[in-house]
Amino acid sequence: MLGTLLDKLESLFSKAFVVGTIPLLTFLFLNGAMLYVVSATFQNWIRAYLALDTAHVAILSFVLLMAVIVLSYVFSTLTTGLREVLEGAHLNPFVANCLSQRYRSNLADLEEQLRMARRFLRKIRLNRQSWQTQLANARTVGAATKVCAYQRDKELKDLLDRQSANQSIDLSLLELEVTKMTNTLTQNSTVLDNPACRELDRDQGLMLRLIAYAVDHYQAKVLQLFNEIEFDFPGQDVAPTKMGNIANVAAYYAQSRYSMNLEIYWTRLQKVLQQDTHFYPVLQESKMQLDFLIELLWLTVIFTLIWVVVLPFCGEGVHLFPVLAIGGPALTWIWYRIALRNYRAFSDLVRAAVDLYRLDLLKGLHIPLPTNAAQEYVLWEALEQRTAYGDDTNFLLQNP
Amino acid sequence: MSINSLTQKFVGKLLRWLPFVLYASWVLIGYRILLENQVRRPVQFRYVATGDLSINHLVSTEDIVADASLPWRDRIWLPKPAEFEGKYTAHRIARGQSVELADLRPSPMIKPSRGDVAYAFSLEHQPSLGDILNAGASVGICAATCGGESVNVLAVLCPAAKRNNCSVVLDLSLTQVARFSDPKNVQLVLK
Repeated sequence: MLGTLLDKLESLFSKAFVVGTIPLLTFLFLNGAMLYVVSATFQNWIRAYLALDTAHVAILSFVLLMAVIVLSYVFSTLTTGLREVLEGAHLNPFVANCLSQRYRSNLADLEEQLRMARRFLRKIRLNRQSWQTQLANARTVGAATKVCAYQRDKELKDLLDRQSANQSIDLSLLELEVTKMTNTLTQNSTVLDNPACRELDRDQGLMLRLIAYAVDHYQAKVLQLFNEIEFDFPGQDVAPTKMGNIANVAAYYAQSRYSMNLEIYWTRLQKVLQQDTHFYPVLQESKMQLDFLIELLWLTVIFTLIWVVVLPFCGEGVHLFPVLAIGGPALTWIWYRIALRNYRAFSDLVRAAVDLYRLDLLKGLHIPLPTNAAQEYVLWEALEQRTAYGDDTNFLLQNP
Repeated sequence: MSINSLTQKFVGKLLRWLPFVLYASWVLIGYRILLENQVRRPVQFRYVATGDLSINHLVSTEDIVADASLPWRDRIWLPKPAEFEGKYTAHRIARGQSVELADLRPSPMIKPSRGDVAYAFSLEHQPSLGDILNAGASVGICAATCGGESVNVLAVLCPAAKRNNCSVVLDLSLTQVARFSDPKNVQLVLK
């Protein structure tokens, strides 16, 4: 039903505009409802409106609809500015620096964690084979002893418990436990048919699984930390807000990988992207979702602030006020979190667009394609100098 | 301005929390303002019954209390309790239900049970009963002897708001009326 309505409206207005109107309409409706609750005058207006004859209702409805459309257009032009506020784009440099310090520390922490995780992973990978061989040899030696007096120690129990709880395993503890198990296997047989022997045999198997788990765990941790740094931080030049950092990731990616200034070439790249009828709608959809959430977030903030200030002076809504005062910020936070997720997805699409279509852009600019990555790096730099700064670098152009 | 990274982080934290602190402070202040400015609903401007009031109950100031949700300072706008005192309930009012002047009348509507008669008995010899008895109560009759039967009080009639020289209107059968042949020697006992 809603889909059909959207499709019909789309024939009149763009989909982005229609979808972007939804938060504003909801905002206007909710404000109207609040006004109805607190204002007897507004209630009288509504009653008077409902009592009007059909012709007057139609005229008034049309006027209201036009007002909403104009308001929607005006509001849609503000979306970029509102997003930039959330990105911390217009802050005083001192304030921006102070706010970004948190993210600089977070980045440093993540990088340190990544460094440690990589080190652990490297060490475990290096030792894995030798540990396995060591345990196998010890088992062979122990088989000849014909005795078995084994009991699982507390440390191994703890390590196995950490494994089943999907927690990190300390490398030194693991190393110690492998040594202990090697000694135990050397002095005890695993082939005898008694409970202690069977337990030792089982624990050797568990030890091997523990080593494999440690490798997998640190591998996953390295990947997770790496992705977090890649998706949430634009290199070392950190922005004052989380959204600002995510927003700068794509530009940093293009700059660091290809020396391509996305600020300058994004509009041109979009022209190339439009030719791909599969990719471009996905990109547009992602941007539309992001704008929708940004609008929703700001309208929730505005709605909350208006009524949290107005209600006390109206003397109305004793029960509504606490709900609004708590629910408004909670909802704003939820919209912000969802917007961050969407921004990450959108940013990834932009990065993919840079990877996949930058050479098509060069073709579009009639510039011969570079033969290797280093040449491409220099080419984008030179192109930027010429197009953005008016440098007189000469280019060989390729006729279509 | 050049400051070290720790100070910068601290200032950043302050700046980040400042809007939340300001908002929370305003919410607390705003809620207080709201409670002070709260629009009083007409339904709050009322008295409620402190107990169950039978029909023809002679209302005293102890029978009514201002609605608890109405702040003390606004209770001055309520009608004076004296306006309720000495009037009779026109219908049964349960405990906690609102009591308005419209629910009261200046005199009781006496309606004895079928086959019985309403008998007014002066309490001049038992003035203390005037403070205790009210419509709906049951009493026993002691003439020469005390009978075991209970008699319903239909109403209590007092000449003034103060309960002096009151009479009770009893719902009596004709045989019970005969026991009142010498009223001076009749006493009522509470059941």
